[in-house]
Formats: sequence, C-alpha cells, structure tokens
Amino acid sequence: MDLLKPELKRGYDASCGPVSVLISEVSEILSQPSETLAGSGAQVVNWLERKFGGFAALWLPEGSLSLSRFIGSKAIPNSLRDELADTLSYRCPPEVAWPPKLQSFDFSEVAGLGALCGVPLLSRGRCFGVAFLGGEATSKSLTELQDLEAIAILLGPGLDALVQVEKMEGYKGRETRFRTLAEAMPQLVWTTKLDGSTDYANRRCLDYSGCTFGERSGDGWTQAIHAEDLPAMNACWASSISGGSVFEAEYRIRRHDGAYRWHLGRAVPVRSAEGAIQGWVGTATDIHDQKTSQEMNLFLAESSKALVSSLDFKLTLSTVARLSVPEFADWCAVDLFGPEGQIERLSVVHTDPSKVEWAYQLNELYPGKSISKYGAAEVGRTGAAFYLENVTDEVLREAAQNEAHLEHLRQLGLQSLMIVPLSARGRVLGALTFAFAESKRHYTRQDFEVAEELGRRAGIAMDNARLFEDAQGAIRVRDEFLSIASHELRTPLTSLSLNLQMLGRSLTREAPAHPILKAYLDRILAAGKQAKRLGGLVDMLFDVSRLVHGKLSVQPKPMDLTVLCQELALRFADEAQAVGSSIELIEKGDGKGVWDELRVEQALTNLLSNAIKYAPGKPIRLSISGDETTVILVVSDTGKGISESDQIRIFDRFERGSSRGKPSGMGLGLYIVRQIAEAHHGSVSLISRPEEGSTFTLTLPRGGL
Amino acid sequence: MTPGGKGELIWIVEDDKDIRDVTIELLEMEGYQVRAFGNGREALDGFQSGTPLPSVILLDLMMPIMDGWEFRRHQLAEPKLKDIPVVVATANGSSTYHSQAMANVDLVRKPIDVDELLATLAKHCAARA
Repeated sequence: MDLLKPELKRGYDASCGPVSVLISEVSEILSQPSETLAGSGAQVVNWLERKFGGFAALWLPEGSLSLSRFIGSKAIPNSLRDELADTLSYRCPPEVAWPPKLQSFDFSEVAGLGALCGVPLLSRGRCFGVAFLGGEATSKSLTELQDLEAIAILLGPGLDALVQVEKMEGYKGRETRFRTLAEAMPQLVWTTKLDGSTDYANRRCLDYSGCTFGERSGDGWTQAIHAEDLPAMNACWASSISGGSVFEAEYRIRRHDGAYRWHLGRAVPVRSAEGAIQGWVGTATDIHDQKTSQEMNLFLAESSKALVSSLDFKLTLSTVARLSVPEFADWCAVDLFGPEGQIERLSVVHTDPSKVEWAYQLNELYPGKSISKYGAAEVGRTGAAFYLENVTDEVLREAAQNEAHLEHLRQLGLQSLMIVPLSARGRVLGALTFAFAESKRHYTRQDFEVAEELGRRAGIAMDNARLFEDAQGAIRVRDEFLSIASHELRTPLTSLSLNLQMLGRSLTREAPAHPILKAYLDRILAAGKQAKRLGGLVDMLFDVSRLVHGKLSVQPKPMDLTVLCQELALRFADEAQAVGSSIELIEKGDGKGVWDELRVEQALTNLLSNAIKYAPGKPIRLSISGDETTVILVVSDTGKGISESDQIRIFDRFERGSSRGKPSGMGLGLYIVRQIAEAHHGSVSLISRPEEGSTFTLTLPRGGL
Repeated sequence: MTPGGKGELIWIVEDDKDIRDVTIELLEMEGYQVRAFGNGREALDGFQSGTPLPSVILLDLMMPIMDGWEFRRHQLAEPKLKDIPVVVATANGSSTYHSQAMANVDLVRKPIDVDELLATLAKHCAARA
C-alpha cells in the first residue's frame, strides 16, 4: 500500500490541537446514548470537517441505513460512490482481519476525487469501514493523518458498536414491523419456538379463542382444535417440525362462543442466515364458508342421489332428512301437504331417538295447523321459504298455541330455524324444516340457499314420483277398461255367434232340398268364422289385461300332451292345407304330466296359427319329446324366419315381427305363450334365421307346480 | 254334424236373454228339452217348486242376484242336485272358474262353439243313460 502522496502532507493545520483533546471530543460524541448510527456518524463527520478542514466521510458497508453506505460525504459525487465503494470493498473487504500494522491509504486513483486519504476503522480485529478526509484545498499532512489514525482507534469500536446496535435495531424493527403486520392481518397469526411451542399469538388469535396468551401459549392452543381433526393435525405438525417442511392442514378451531370453524393452517420455518430453523411463523385462515360450501355441495349431491334413487318419494324424503343430521341440522322434519291443506308429518330425524318420539307427541298435541307464521303450515300457504338465524323467546311465544306449548317449545332449545317448501310446477307439496338446537349453531344465508335448493330438488323428485304414479294409474285404468270391455264384448259376441251357428245348422239341414240356400249358408258360415275370430281377439285382450297384473293362474290337472298334440294336428290340418302347408306330428316320448290343458292348448294354438300365417306353403312340424322331468314341444317352420332384432322383443306385449309383411293380429300371441309357459314354471324359446324358418320350443316341467 | 239329444232335459242358467233364447231354440232344435232360468236363484227356486231335474245344467258364471259360483255351492250342498253334471259357459277363460266348487265341471268358452257344446252335452247324457 502506498503511503500518502507528497501533496497530502501539505497544509497541516496545527489548530486542531493535541490528540488527547480530539479523543475526548470523539468519545463524547459517541457516548450519546440515544444516538443512532446515522446521527452519530453525521456528528463525527461534522466534527472531522471542523477539525481537519475540507470534507470528511465515513464508509460503513455493514451499516444499513444509508443506501450508499456513505455518511456525510456530500463532497463525493453520487456518480463516483459506487466506484469508490467497489475499490474500498476490494481493498478492505469486510470480515477480513486487517493487517496488524495500521495502514492508511489514499484514493486519488479513483478518478475525479482529487486528494482523498482514509484510515481503516477497525474493531474486533477486523475492518468494518473507512473514514475519509479530503478536498483539493486541504490536502492532509502526515501529522494530520497520524492524528486521524489515533482518532480512528477510538472511532472504530465506537462506530462498530453503533453498527451492532443498528443491526439490533434493525432486527427489532423487523420484529416490530412483523408484529404490526401480524396484528393487522385478518388471520390468526402465531409464532413458535423450534420445538413448536407457541411464543406469540396475535390479538385476533386471542379474541377468536377467547383465551389469554397464557392459556394459548406452549401447546395450549391444541385444546381449541376439534377433537376429530386433532390427530391428523398433530401428525402433520410433528412431521413438519421434524423435517422442516412447510406445515399445511385443515382443521376446526373453537371460537369463543363454542362454535367450531374450519381453518387452513399454514406455518413456515424461520431460518437463520446459516439456514438453521429458529422457529416457525404460522397463520390460520378461516375457510369455514368455502369448506362448508364444499360440504353443502356434497350434501346436496348426496341428497339428490337419494332423491332419484327411488320413485317412492316418502322413502327418499326420509333419507334426505336422515342425511341432513347432524351436519346440516340437529333436527330435520318433513311435512307433506294434502290436497285439502292437511299436513302429514312424514319424518322427524334427530340423533337421539327418544327426542324423535317426543317430537311426534308434540306434533300430535299441537298439530301444525297453527296460525303461527313460523310453521310449516305457513310455508305451505305462502310457498315462501324463510329462516331465522336466531330463534328468540319472542319467536317461541308467537309460535306457541298456549302456555304449555310454549314450555315444550322452550325445552327444544331451538337456536336457529329454516323451513323451505317442497314445490314443483307452482304447487307446494310439502315442507322441509331444519333446526339447530343442542349444537348451538346458527344458520347463515348460505345454509338457507342450500336448503332452498334442496327443497326445489326434492319438490321436483316428488312431482316426478306423482307423475309416475298418475301414469301407472292411467295404465291401470286402461287395463281395467280392457278387462271390462273384453267381457262386455263377449256377451253380444256369444249371442251373435250362437245365432249364426244356429242359422248355419238350420240352413245345412234345408240346403240339399233348396239349392238357393247354399249361397246363404256360405255367407253365414263366413260370418260365423269372423265372429269366431272376433271372439279370439277379445279373448286375447282379456288375457293380456289379466297377464299384465300377473293374474294368470293355471289349473293343472293330470293330462297327456301327446293326445293334445294329436288333436291339434288334426284340428289345424284343414287350415294349413288351405295355405298349401302341411302339419307333421312327431312323437318321441311320453306326454303325460300335470298342466292346465286349456292354457297349453292356447299356447300351442298360438304357435301353430303363427306358423300357418307366416310360413304359407311350407311344411310345419309339431314335435313332442321329453325326459323324466320335462316335456318339450317344438313348433317349427321353414318360412321367412325372424330377424335377430325382432327375436329379442317378439315375446313382449303388442310386438310383432317387423319383417313379416302385412301386420295382422295384435302382437299378443307370443306374449301369451310366454306367460303360459312361465305360469307352468317352464319357458319358451326361439331359434330363427331369416329365410330359413323359425323353431319355437316350449319346455314344460312335468311335475305339476 | 254332432249328434243331438233324445229328449233329455237341460237346464240353462243364463242372465242374458238373447243368449238364453238362442240357446233354447238351438237345443230344442237338436232334440233336447230345455228349462231356462235368469240366474242361480231362479234355478234353485225352480228346484224348490218341483221343476223336473235335468240331465245336465248349462251354467253361466257372471249373473246378477246369484252367480254361477254360488249356485254351484248350493247345488253341491243339495243331495238331489249334487250329482247332476254341470257345463260352465264362461266368458273369462280358465282363470275365473278356479275354485273348489268348480273343480269338476266341464267348460265351454264363450263365444260358444255349438259343436263343442253339443258334444259335451251328448257326452254327459250318454254317461247318465
């Protein structure tokens, strides 16, 4: 390091006096207790300028108050400060022990500064800054510099102390700023020690919990955590503390009034410069509304699922009531309104069954037809939902029908109440009542909206169920009509048919003698045939109307299906011949068993008629076979066959193969065949390929029913 | 053509006048004697007042005052009547005649097939001859 340049040695001003005086003056400045680093530094600079002339400055890179880290250096242009600081940082890097021999240096190498000399400020064996003297007019002499070095010995530790104080102040400042911020924040804010025990909680924390800091400090705060959430939260916290990871958990914290609210807890570790965890700073943000809104949506979703799960709306409404307790209500009641305005209490739910019993008794004692404006009846009348955040005694007095009733109502301990209508298409079908009592909770506008939505959905579900019931009723009426109509039709048909048959018989006797009557006879026989066909259709209608209600009963008696098949083959021979077909009977076994002969005959008749109708000109095969337990009757043809899509539905009511040309009949024949087979615990099946024919197989167990 | 009767007496118990009349005419044409009643009660009254007993009773089921089922129960309870065969003309298929009382009756379905009816009547008359 170069020593002072010759010009610096010029112009020594001895007026600054002996060094001892200077030292005492400096120590006086530094010992002013209330001074800050900036303040003391400025005084030091002023004092130096007074004593040495020119200008003085301090460079204190560890001090944080001055952005440029220069104090009192007005004479050093801003534009040069950074350059000077760089040079200084290079020459006397902080934290590096200064060479034992005190050295001063000049900075004229920094362009534009002119004469400038400096002495290092040393403390605790290291350089923490530089004091300058400078100015064109006042180049410093060696003596001056020696004086300055002597002052610097004192100035070093003094300013160092101030720097340390400032650092402390800075820390405290940060602390203060943190506290101020923490107190202003809307969240619960707390800090903990390394072990996780609370050492600070903001005012909001204390206000929220209604505790003193003493109660809340350490691990006292965990007592306010909901018992259900505590284990998970503890585990999470323990894991964060041991691993140094960010803590994040949702849990309920008890408020001063006993209500638990959901919070999102977060805590981050506070680390030292070296990275060691010194403690934690945490916040808890109230997410109760969001969280409950999520829960509400879940509740709504579950309820909706229940509502569509069945058309029995009384059942589904009871399910909804059950779902609402205990999260959404301590009490839930479902009332249905009859067409005359009467109220039926469908369901009351409470976690305690004895209370439910009591509520029903209460309802019987004081039926809901009260004039109270706080009852389900009122909601039924107006169709408007309402909620009472607080059920006051005044409300109870207004709702009560008499003193005894009031006493009962008081015993319920109602806190908060919501009643929403179950309505659809402008009709109020019922009401849902939700109440908080024991849990001391209170409904909010948000809860009310959820309840209203639930009421709407339940109303629609009820309406759907009723529409379905109506539709079912209409179907019942139709089938009853079919049943009555077919019966009523049969009486005139019987008369018509008997008359035609009798006429036919008379004419048959007379015709040989009177050839003219032959033509009439043909007409009458044709009319008789149509009357018979009409009778068959009416029979079918009647059968179907009964089958729909599962009323097909059979009267099994011992019989021989082989005999029946022989009779039928004979009976249908003419009909088959008329369309160019033939019926081949194949007997391959015993046909004895216990069946309803009329019904089996009906089934075979339908199958044979179909074969004749749909496979004209093709041979038809009727076969009977079987084993010990079962008889198998097969009617097969080689006609057009039935497409696969038709095969699926051909045994259903009013279905007819679509590819079979002109529709004829009502599509009931095969439906009846299936019903007859099933009534005998048997079955009917079909194998068919288009253009290859159809094979119907009727399988009937032999052994009665 | 189905064989007719040889003067056997048939009771017709049927509430519909048209059906009753045409059945009477038909059976008489086929050689039967016929007594007709409008319902079960009338038939029982006829029995009480000494109407000759028939070879076969042709019985309708759905009738006012006394229906076919009830008539059948009374018939079975009356020793002089209980063995007379009954042919039930039913409009309702097999399902409606299920009952203990109807266990041993013959059945013709409405609309009645005359050949079937005559064959059934002839069978019973022959059996009693």
